[in-house]
Amino acid sequence: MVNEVIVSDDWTRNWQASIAVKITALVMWVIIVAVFIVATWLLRDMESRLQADFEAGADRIAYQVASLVEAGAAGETADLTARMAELQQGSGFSAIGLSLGQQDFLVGDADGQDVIERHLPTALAPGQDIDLEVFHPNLDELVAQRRNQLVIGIFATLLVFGLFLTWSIRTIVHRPLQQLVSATRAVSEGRREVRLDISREDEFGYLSRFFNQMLDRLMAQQRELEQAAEEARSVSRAKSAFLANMSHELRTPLNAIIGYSEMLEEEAGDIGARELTPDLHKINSAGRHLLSLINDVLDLSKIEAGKIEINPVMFQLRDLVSDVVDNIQPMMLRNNNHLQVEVPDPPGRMFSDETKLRQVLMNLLSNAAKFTEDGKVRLQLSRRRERGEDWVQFVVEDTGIGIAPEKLGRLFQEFSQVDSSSTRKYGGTGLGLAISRRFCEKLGGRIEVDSEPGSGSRFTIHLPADFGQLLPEPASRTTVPATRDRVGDTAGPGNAGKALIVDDNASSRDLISRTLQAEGIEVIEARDGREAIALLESQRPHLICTDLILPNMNGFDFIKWLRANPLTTELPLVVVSAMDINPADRRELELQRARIVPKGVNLRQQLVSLLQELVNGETAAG
Amino acid sequence: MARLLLVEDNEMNRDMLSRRLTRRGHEVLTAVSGHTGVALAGTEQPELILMDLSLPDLDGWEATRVLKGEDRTAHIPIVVLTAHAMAEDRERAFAAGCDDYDTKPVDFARLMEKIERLLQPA
Repeated sequence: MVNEVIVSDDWTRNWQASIAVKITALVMWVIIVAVFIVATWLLRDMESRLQADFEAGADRIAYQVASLVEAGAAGETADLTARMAELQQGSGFSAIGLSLGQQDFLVGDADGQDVIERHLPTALAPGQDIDLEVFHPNLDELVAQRRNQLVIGIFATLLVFGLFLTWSIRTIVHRPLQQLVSATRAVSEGRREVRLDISREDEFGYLSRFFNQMLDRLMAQQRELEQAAEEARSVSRAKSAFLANMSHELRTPLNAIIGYSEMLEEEAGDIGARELTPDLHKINSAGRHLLSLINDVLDLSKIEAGKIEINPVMFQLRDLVSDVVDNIQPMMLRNNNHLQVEVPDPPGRMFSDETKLRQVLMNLLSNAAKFTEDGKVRLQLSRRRERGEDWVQFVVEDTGIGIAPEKLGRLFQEFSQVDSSSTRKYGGTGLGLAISRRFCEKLGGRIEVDSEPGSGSRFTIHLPADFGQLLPEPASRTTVPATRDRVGDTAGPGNAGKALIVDDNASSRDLISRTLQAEGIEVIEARDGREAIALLESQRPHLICTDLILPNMNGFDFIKWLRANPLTTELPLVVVSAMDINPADRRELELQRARIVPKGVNLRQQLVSLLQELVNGETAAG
Repeated sequence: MARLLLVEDNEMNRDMLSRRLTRRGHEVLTAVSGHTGVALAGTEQPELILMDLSLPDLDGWEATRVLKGEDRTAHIPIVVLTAHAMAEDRERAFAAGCDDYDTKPVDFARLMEKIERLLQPA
């Protein structure tokens, strides 16, 4: 399987970085240095050989001229000149000069030429010696001329050679390397189906072969991991379901224990059996303690399973505070504590998950009540603006036993009640603060603690006043023309609405579609984001169920498109995914107002309850 | 004191609550399902109804809606009781027309307060 992915082939953009250019430059430098050395040597050699040639030529000329002079001593001067001219023309010298006794002869052009002199004794007569001058072109000029030719030749050859070298390196090394780079990049982007061409027999061929093998291994391992993860998920789902059922099953008999013991306590009082009252009261409070343990464990298991859902509602802070104070007052009185409440007037409203916030406040206040005796507990509510956002701050301060500095760090961790003796003395699971922290984080805020042993603790909760601020405002909401039909408008009477299912897996598409159809919902289907977008041109569903891993356009991109599009920005959206969604993605999906339903055994049930919730949300809102 | 109807399918909860209410001097009628509850409310005309939400056949929400929709029973105050402390459950219960709401396990003192408030002549 050859699946070539080409990265930009534009090597000119960063040409210095190209391997071909680097190797070429290196090779060229070596060659240029070598050629320079060789050329210098050659020119030196040439110079000395020319010098030797001229010397030998001069000797030859001298011999011939001597013969001429001896043979033609009786001859005419004109004849000697002509013979010398012949000699000169055949010799390659520029000129030949001769001085014979009182007579001087010169043939050729001696102007600006170098000269070699020869003194020849003759047999003619004493004093009749010959002085010969042979003129030849200047050696340095000759060498310079040659050198220029050589340099031009070398550069032309090097240029051609360099281009050839670059081209061959690009073909032999660069191309396969680039394919490898592209393939690696593709893999790093998650496309593991990429495979390299393995037809080459060189090192790149081997590399490609092993690269492919590595990917095969990786894919196999990934499949195994996915299977293992799926098994783990189903185990975890089973665990969650078990816990939920279990807690319900535990609560029912516990309710009876709490109720009957309370009743017996009253009856014992009525019939005058007062000595039974303390024991009955112990049964009752032990039952209540067990109930709070079960509730905490259930909350924590929900948090750990990522099943905590935030249901923000608009509520009056005054109502929340007075409700919490009413509920906590009996506990305050038990330890003879005074509860002081400071609330601005008016405290205003808040859009958040009231139930969770109430639970956090109850937790902090009951801790304060529990760990303080004959003291003061202060609940303070204030509002402030931070970075243009409206925040609500609750402070719960007590004058109780406080917390040692070294214990503060792990205070918000699970099962971390300061020490086991305090569990015995004060009760509780040590889960309350862990749950409170998680809830505050879920609500977009934080919880802080400040304490000094012996003088008390101070817990501060910061929460955004508008949980909706965390959700991105649909940018183009105001630009939707009022007359235009919005996707997601309430279904007409007698029609439970229409849903669009986007999933590439036919069987899960089928399962979802049958579930929805059973609820009387009309179903349209698409296999990926692009198909879905095409469908949305003509169809106006009231709900979209989408998978996350899709061909062509994945679920995240599709959801972004949906939310960016004014027609679908408010549309109820359900993500049905087999994948374990990591916290960052989960957050992103929450920001896009997508509800998450894991694919699995109780998909059907979860979808139905979600639908009911959506329908009820609509009726409640309308 | 007053004639109350308790609609609850769990035997122990029914027994417990009815006995405690009786001890406070109320007359308590009981029903174990939504349908019998609605029927009893019509014939017996209780002064107040305590309604569990998860009931066999007709659930608590539906029963509340039916009771509030009938002339003969619309005036009877209904207090919904549920083991689910979910805000949605409460909203759905109020949407169905109930007059008050309490979570199980019942805090008896709190429930008595609610009952007494609803029984006071307006």
